[in-house]
Amino acid sequence: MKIKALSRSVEGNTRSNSGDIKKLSRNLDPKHKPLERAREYTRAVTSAKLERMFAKPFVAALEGHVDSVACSAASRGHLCPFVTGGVDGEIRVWDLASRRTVWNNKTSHTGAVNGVCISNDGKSFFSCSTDKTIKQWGLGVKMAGGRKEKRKRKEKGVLDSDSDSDGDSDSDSEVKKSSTSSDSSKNPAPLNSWLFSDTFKSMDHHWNEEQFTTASDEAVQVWSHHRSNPIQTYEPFNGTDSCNVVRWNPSERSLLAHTSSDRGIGLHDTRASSSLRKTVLRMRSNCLEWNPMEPMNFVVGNEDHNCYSFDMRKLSQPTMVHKGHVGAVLSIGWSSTGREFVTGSYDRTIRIFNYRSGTSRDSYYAKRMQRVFCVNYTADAKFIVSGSDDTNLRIWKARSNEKLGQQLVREERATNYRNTLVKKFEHMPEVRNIVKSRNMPKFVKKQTAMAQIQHASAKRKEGNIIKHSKKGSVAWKGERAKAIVKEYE
Amino acid sequence: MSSDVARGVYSSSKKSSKTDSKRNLHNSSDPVLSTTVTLQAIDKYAERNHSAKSLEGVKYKDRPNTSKNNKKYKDKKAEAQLRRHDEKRVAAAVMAAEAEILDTEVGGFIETENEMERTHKLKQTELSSHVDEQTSDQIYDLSLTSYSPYNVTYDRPGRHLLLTGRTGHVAIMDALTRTLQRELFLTDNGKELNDIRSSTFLHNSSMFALAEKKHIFIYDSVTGAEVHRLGDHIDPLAIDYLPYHWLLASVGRAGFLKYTDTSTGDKVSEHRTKLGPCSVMRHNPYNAVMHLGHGNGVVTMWSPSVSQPLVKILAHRGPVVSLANDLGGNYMVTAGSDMQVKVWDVRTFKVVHSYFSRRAVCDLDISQTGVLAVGSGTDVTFWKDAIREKQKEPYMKHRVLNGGVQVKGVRFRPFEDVVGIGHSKGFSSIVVPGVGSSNYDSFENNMFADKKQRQEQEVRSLMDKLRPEMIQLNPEEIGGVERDKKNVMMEKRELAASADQKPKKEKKKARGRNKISKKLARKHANIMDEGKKKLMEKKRSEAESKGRGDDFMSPAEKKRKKGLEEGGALSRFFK
Repeated sequence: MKIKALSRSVEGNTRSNSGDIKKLSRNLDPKHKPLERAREYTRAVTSAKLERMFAKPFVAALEGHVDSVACSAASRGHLCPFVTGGVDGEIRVWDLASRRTVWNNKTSHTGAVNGVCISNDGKSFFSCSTDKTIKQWGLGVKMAGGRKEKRKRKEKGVLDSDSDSDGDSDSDSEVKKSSTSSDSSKNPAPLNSWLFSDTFKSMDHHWNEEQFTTASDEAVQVWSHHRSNPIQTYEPFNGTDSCNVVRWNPSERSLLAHTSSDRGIGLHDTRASSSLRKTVLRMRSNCLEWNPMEPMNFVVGNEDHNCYSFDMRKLSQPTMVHKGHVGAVLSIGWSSTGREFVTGSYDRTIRIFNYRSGTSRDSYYAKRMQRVFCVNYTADAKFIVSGSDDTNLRIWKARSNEKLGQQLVREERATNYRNTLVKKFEHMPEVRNIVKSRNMPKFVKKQTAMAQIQHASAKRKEGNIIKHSKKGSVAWKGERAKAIVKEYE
Repeated sequence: MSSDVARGVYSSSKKSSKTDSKRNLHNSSDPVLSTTVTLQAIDKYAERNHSAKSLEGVKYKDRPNTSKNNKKYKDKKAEAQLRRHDEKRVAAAVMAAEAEILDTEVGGFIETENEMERTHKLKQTELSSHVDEQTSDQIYDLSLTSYSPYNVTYDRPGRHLLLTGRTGHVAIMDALTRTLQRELFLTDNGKELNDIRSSTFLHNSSMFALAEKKHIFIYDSVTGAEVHRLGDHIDPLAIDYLPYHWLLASVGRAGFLKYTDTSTGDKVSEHRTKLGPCSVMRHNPYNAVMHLGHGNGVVTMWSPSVSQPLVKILAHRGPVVSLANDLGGNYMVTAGSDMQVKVWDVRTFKVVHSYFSRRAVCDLDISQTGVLAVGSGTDVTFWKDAIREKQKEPYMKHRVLNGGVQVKGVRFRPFEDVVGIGHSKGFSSIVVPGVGSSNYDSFENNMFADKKQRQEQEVRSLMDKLRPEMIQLNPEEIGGVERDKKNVMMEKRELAASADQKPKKEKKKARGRNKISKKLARKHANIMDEGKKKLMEKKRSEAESKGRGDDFMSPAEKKRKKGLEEGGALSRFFK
């Protein structure tokens, strides 16, 4: 007879000395893990609570501007530089890592700075203003990006403004001259300036070429770095109103999108002399941003408190309506992942939307934060920078409960596990209520409630109209279709 | 016990020349084989309530006509999400099955070499010469006569053993090293004999509860100090502990099933069974439902949140003596004083098969591998695969101390091939190969946990403490969507629709005469019933006798009478 019996020794199953790792045995058989689903659910509830407990999104408020922050720009290719323009014509360059201004010019423009953008090489940036000028400024500033970053910048030929201890002397003396002083007494001079006949509303730099575009009262202009006059000008497609925002497509080199005051969104091809197509919404769009990862899609922030996602191939209807704000949406910033975007609104809040969801994932506000004029994600998609009417620049975490700094592997794994559990049970009322609960200011709460009542009322009215009309003569109109008034091809 | 799934993985990788077994599993040249392997893995590892769906999930790729052509869902995004979720689930099940290769330990077994050999003829003395020294050390008897008979309880990892003598002796032993940890004599300095009916460890081996004569008492295993007296539990006969819910349950002479939360000390619920004294109680480890065996042969199943039994089964003619649940939660075995041992399918609540026992059964237990132990009289018999199909002869047999004792309790030691038997002369430990699960999970039942790990486990288990309401027959329903049946849904919808409408206002016909009684009378004026007819008849006859018969005539009758009286041209029609 063959006999074998289980025999476990203490020595075989425990570590021999305290320096060793503990011996672990796994058995994945679900028989030994009873009530798994109930336990997972309990953990999901706990995780959701933890998530809310650790939700501290506010990182810092950066002071410096003396008037409202009107516009901002983050560099597309570099981590550090962040430029903001004020309503009083001041421009500041920030080092977000060390939370300080590294360059400022109080008299950059005599009017409000309406647009800033950073050139592709990261050496300079442009600003446009209501004073009918565009100016190019050198961006040779030292950031607290560490030695590695510095070396990288040096390799790329970017100058450090402060004279370094290792005494680097570089070629571009003009840039150096313009950017050396950070004190306000000697205001740095621009590298270039363009004078135009019209006030500027917005500007954007080309993603690859040495071109930039501006939106003015009359038209959209395309400029080259090296020309004094616009190389292209586009009159509005259909209508005579002024253009608000203009943005280059990230992948199509000659594609431009703009919004205009006649409530329109239009597309231009810079190879052609006239615009491609245009669609008119019910209300004016205040901002437009292309999705950096899916460059056929863009989002506009509208005066009617909503954001609309569009596929540029089909402007007849937005692909998604993003609701939640109770004031006009003034600015949008895309996460570099292309999965999320942040919106700043006149209702003094910031909301973060998933690009495919109709409601916001999170919403931030601060007690003293006023109307938000500009929002941006940082390039690592971890932070959000908002500039508002209260002259402050605020840094927020993109994920409010995320721990800053490097996590241990086990910690990270546990976090992922918790997040997955919350996602798994998000449909359960208990978890959902915890995850979605936000303390919002009274004003927002009231407005939201009112908006809901208004929406319900409008819906009821629509239903009544259909009910009392001849059958088939009036049909329900979808929420997305409602947004569009007219489309021009 | 290397499972079929792991073998399936092996065989599939052997068949194809590629080395990466995972890839083979998915792109195996033999699609039938890979599908069956996946199905087996899903069967074992995927969540149970999705099992029907999961099969569809597997077939999803194999059958192009199911989801792609026949549109199943309206919402494309939802469909894609579901599909992705299903794929992930299947992949996880397959990965878990593949991880079985890493299980180094192989379960115990007895293999006969020819047909004449019978495993149940193997004696412990013979067996001890076949196994290693550490295992043979587990075969021992403790002679404890003055407080007997003894009850046996192991903690969940199977490391500690709690021996309780009926009249007041309690011993906690380290089952692995066979050392006594703490001994208690609960006899009030020998003045009075105690009556310990039942015992259980709490969430870990650091505390245990005893059902004594009047109440339940909780003791500290290390110091032996009495920590709590649960005054609510009066005269308990049987106690059991639900480790994931931190609930201590007891049932006693009054037939009340009581639950106490041991983390907060609150009484969670109290159910009146209405079935008299009860001393048989075991929980189903799969869903934490409490099974009670009653004196009238009924087995009831209870959840703390429902005041009625979830299920009531008439299991035996005569009292239920003992019951046991298998680890997977699909089967229950009951023994009655009608000499029957019955195997029940808890999913259908039907008898799978039943055994006849010549001697009265006193205790039952089912091992982690599904071996059934039956203690009766002086013997304990072990039945392998007895649950799945009816066996003709036992797997092992053990006569305690060569007869002369009465077996009181039988318990398998988890994760070991060891069985503890409490009897009238103390305690016996024997080895039965193949009853313990070969691999333990350090995060679930760590028998080698050090202090730190034990502390951490305790905190984690408290954080994951399940709510009593979560106890239900199907634990996989938690977090799912409960859908009403179609007719119920329609009714609800109608009710909701009617609630939206304005209630109909009753018309005021008679102003100022709005008494409820009047209203009712008006309403019922036209209704003729038996009583009213009689009353009318009576009134009419009275009136006629007084010569006022006209008052109670109907208009037609009046007309007729008038016609007759007048005798006009139409009088001929009124005859």
